[in-house]
Amino acid sequence: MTALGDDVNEMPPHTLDDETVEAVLRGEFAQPELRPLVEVVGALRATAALPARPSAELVTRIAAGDFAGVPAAAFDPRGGVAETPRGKVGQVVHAGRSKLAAMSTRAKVAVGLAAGITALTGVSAAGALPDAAQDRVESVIEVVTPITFDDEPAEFGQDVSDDARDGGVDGQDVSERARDAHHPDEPGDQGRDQPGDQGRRDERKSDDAPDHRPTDQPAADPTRPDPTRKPDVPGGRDGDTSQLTERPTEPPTTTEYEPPVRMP
Amino acid sequence: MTAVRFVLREGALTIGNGFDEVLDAARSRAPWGFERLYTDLAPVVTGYLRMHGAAEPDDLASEVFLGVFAGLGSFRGTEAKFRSWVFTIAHRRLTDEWRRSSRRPVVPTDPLILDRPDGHVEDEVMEVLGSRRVRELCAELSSDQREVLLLRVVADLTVDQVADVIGKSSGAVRALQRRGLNALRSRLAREGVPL
Repeated sequence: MTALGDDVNEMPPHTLDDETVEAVLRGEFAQPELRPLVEVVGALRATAALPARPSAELVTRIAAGDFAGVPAAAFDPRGGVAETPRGKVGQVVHAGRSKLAAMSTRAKVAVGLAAGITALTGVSAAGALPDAAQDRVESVIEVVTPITFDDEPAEFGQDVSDDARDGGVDGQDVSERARDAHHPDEPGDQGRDQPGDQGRRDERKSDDAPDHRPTDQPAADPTRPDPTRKPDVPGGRDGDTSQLTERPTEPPTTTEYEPPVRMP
Repeated sequence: MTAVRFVLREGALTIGNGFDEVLDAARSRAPWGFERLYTDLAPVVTGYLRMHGAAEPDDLASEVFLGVFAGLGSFRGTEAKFRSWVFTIAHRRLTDEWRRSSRRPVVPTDPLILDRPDGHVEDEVMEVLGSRRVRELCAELSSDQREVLLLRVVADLTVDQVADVIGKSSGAVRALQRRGLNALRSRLAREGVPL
């Protein structure tokens, strides 16, 4: 089969000049007969909009920020690439891909799903990675693929209950303070239990008393910036300043403010 | 006659003014820097490889980025220069792949339909069919014509950048893109068109 444009018996159509070529490549055309060609160019460009799927190795290395041992493509300022010889890592990867290329399509898809990004996603979704690595890998996967991880707790109700037990609300304390506030002088209320109250109070304490359990991880120091996090743009990415605290431009007008005393 | 223009690009493919910051972050091994560079260029690199008929364009693109990220310390230049560098690497990886497999680019059966994460099957089928048709057309071009058109259209490189990538003069690049488009136009005219 000869390549297009090589048939000597073919009647050559009007040859495109450089200016028309550039217009077509930009998606513009003045002659209606060029519309199909511009549509092909557009379809070609649309292939660049399809999502890419990174390999498991790439995702892991991005999450760790570690590319040690990978054959580096060295930059040549004169143009082109001054590549280092391919190392064992690259050789193993290419041998694997050659075997893959010989498989049927369905087999390739099955292998790809088992060994590629989906498998890594599965491992990550199963929580099989250490916590810090789990978070990093999930973050990278969510950024570079359409996959998202559900962070909602599986049993919301149980968590609400646990929060209440942890001291989010102490019903007994609220009740007593409310009673003191509204009926401070009512005889027999302050500190005197009604028959049965102590028993009920003991029951409530066992259910609602704050349970100060130590946290699993030390709290992060909010004053120390994370050097690996993307710096916040002042005013937010979209220039939203609603969260910024405005500095006062005038002295407060309350009676507590005393202007500086002027000496004669 | 009034010129007609298609809106062919959805959203910017370039990082712009923040490129230096992103590059510095990646050099500091911050994951977000690598993510940004990858999400910016991976779709176009993968599309370029796919249109060239690479058997495993996603894997090959991942190899390209492994090499790019491992060699970031040696890179110096603007975002445009970075883009050229990435595609130079992709071009060489592809050439290596062809030499190893000793075969011409083919149009593989598309697994894209089988493992899309969402459920818009009809739209995806039309998209894949259109993509396949374009690949068939590109496969019939000479390798140099196809290379130049893909780097101009998919990679969005200038004539001079393409010349750097493939190691030819700017004049040769212009001649190849002209011949390539003329060849496509002739093919479309013979078939009565469409995708």
